[in-house]
Amino acid sequence: MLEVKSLDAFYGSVQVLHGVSLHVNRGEIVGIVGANAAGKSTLMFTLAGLRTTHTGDIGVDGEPIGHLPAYERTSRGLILVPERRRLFPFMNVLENLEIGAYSPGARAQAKQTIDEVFALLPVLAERRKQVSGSLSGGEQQMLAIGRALMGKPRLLLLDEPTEGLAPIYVKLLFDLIVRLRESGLTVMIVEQNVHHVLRTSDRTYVLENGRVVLEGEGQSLLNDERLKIAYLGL
Amino acid sequence: MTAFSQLLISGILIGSIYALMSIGLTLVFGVLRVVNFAHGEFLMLAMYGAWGITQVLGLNPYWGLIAIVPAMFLFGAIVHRLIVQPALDKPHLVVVFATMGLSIFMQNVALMAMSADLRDVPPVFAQSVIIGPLYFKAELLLGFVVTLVCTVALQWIIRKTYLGKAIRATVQDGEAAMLMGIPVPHIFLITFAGGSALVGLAACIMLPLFSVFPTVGLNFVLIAFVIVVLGGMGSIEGALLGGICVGVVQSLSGYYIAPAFGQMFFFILFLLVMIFRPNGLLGQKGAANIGMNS
Ligand SMILES: Nc1ncnc2c1ncn2[C@@H]1O[C@H](COP(=O)(O)OP(=O)(O)OP(=O)(O)O)[C@@H](O)[C@H]1O
Ligand SMILES: [Mg+2]
Repeated sequence: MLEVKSLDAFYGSVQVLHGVSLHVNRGEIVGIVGANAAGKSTLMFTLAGLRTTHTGDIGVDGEPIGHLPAYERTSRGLILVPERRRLFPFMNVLENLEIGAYSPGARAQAKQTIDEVFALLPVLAERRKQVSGSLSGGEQQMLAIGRALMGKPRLLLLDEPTEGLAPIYVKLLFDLIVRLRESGLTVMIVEQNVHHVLRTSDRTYVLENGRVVLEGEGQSLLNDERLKIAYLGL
Repeated sequence: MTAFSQLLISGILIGSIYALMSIGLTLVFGVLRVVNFAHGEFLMLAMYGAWGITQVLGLNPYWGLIAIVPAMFLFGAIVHRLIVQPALDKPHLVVVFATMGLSIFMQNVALMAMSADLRDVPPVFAQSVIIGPLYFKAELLLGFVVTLVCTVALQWIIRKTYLGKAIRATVQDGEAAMLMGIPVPHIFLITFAGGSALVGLAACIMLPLFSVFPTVGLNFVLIAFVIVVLGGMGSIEGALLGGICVGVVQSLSGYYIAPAFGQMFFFILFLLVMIFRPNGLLGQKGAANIGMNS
């Protein structure tokens, strides 16, 4: 589904990612963990086509997409829910969802997708006329995911979706991710919440100073000494 | 009392036409965060274009709309592509100097091509509109109606259409808009070109009322800046309100105090608003942007 080879990423002349290689198979949930400033968000933005310049290959379903601007990667099925949600704060819930379906393929199906999103996230249906800036943190995160789903992703990238959420929302969110996968979506998730990710994901990569230092299957990583070292929080 | 009503209503009418020529400026600022210092020269170019059409084809300038509005859209698209867009990711001063340079260039080309002579067209309507004791130029009344229609239509586009929603999304969070598949560079191009098309519309409405000469843009762009800041930068309704304020102040002070000081009074008005409402009449604090005023 996603194939990344020897990815170097730069902010101007500052290099943040060094030779990152990873892959995500169709239908997998893949976690990315790492300490603050390890380069997790940089990786996500680079995959989505924003902010950085890069060398190396990014491919989706065997097709290179690294040269495309962000707004064309969306219609290739790769959609990022960025760090801190980044909703359109002066628009209501419904308008945020409509914008999510902007790319032509998704727009044609928007009416149907919106019903699916409301069924999946009933809280959004209740608040459809509310301005998104006035939603609670948890509701905002649900809207951010709902908005991304409107674009008909095949690979959903989530950057710290649980940041600042109450424990019950964290659980809700991981349940949602599992349900999305059951419906055929592939998910790549960056998380500080290591235990949750390792429990939910099929495989997890550990990033340290912009390099992949470890890769493994969920639970087995938990006991790995090197994870404890890379991730002093544990 | 009659004199006062006459002046007040004339002020409102002329002010609405000032508003019409300012909407493009506020639109471009609200979406791209770029002040187009060549805005006045766009107006000058479009007025010469409309004047040319009246001379060559013998039509009145309103017919010129059909050619001038699309031509200015195209001109705006080209200027955006060649001058504005390359400067967008550079320090802000670059785009300021780029549009100022364009402004001076256009003035000089006009001076060479058209000389400094004033050009104008005869009145379109033979008669004034008479309402009770009051007289108005029909051209002014028409301009007022066009401005209202234009303001309402633009609001509708921005609120209700997919393009309008994409514009608002771009303004509120450009990166997030790109992640949702909105081609932000195209949105900028369409907005800039659309702003120029509006200047083209304003030029055709203004030609029967004002002469055109190479530096005509300077006079009007000053008024436009005052209007845009008065109304709240990026606010379309604000531009209408700002335009009417400027028109009324100019009209009343010109008659009751001294015509030569007409301009001075709207700059005084401008200073007062800036002191008491620094975000403009309809501007929202920290939201100098299109579609942010709800
Ligand atoms: N726009 C930028 N310009 C320059 N450097 C940046 C920029 N954004 C991030 N960096 C740097 O890149 C490095 C990686 O940052 P990044 O945001 O990818 O880390 P992260 O793993 O997501 O951290 P966190 O867990 O805090 O979200 C940091 O050292 C950061 O300072
Ligand atoms: Mg991050």
